[in-house]
Amino acid sequence: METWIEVDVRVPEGLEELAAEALLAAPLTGLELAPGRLRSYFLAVNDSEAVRAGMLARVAAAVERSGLGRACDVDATFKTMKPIDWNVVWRESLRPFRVGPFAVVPHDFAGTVRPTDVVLKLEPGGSYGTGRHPSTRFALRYLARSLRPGDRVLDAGSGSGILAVAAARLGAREALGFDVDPNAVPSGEELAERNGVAQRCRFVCGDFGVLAAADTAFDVVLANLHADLLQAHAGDLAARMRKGGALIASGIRVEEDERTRLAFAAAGITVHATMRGRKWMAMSGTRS
Amino acid sequence: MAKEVKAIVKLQLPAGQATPAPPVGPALGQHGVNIGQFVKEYNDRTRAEQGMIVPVEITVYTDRSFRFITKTPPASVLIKKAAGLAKGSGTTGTEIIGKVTKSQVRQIAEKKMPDLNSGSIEAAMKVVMGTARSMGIEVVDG
Repeated sequence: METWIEVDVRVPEGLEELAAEALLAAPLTGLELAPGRLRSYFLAVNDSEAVRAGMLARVAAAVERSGLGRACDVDATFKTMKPIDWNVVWRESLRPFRVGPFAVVPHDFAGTVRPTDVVLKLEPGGSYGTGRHPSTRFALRYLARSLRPGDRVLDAGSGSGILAVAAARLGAREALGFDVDPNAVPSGEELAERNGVAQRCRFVCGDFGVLAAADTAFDVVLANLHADLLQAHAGDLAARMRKGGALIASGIRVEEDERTRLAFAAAGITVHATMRGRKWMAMSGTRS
Repeated sequence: MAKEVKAIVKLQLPAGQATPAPPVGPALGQHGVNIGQFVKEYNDRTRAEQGMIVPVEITVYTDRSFRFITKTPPASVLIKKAAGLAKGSGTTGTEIIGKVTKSQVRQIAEKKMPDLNSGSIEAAMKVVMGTARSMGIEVVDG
């Protein structure tokens, strides 16, 4: 594996861009900017005293010449990095994990799972997370407790599609996800396909207005959103639930507990259980 | 989804040719970002500008998802274009290799304002003029 040298250049604050332009020349191909600091890298095979001195000299001269700073305020340190394959680092951080009955695994997972595991194959994408966020874990746990095979499920703010797909994996007859983010539709469809439940999952782009008249009387409604959205749309959520249907609301900061309960109560939803982490909580309720 | 910003990472990378190697790997790897996916998306988005350095600002969330925006080209590129030069002096000497006018500086400063953290157009112009001088390009009235 290739060995890289890290160069860490300290420059006067405000002159980072100017310094970056002076620094960025062969063998450097890119850099990172932070306040008063530039970090860049080059291959050890290109290292020499002259290369190192050149980097410092270029930046010092540019700062001096700009009239906005002094060459003596520029300093550079060099460090040989341990050889690392950065793609592997990321992949290894994606270890499978269990939540409720689910085993959440990378999509190309080759290991073994327990016969009782409900496998969810997930590839964390650009827009969405890894399924590890407490609010997602809480929602998955509640889903496993509430869902009966054959249920119809609505996922409000479906994002990656993980909750709708999890519902289908548990035996939901129909799982409909919607999200204002246009990425959510391809993301959800791909996830459903990958988990073999594309036939029972559907994703649409928009807010509550995008739902058809027939998209109502759901047995389970999932809403992993922010508390302010849950409060504002408590009535919309209730309107899509059947009488006695279950609401699983997550993504609630603990300090929003009371306000969110009140909004649900006003919409005819009784909260009967909560799960709490340090900062986040989830609620499970029923429409009366 | 509940999202909290974990870090904002600023990089300057070759358009259409970024790789998971440093600086991308160390900068994003420490925050658990899907490096391969970032590289692919960055290269797709910047393909048309190959040969240029395109700055990018990546917002990483606590759930390890990310979004990024590409920024305006570095001031030096805009200055060289205004001065009609292929490249800067490339030396640390003191020779003058070209010139730009004050009004060109103002135009560049206006374009760069969102990225420069400058409080005013005057402050942004100061940075642009400083960059020009640092490259061996003289700023003249006009």
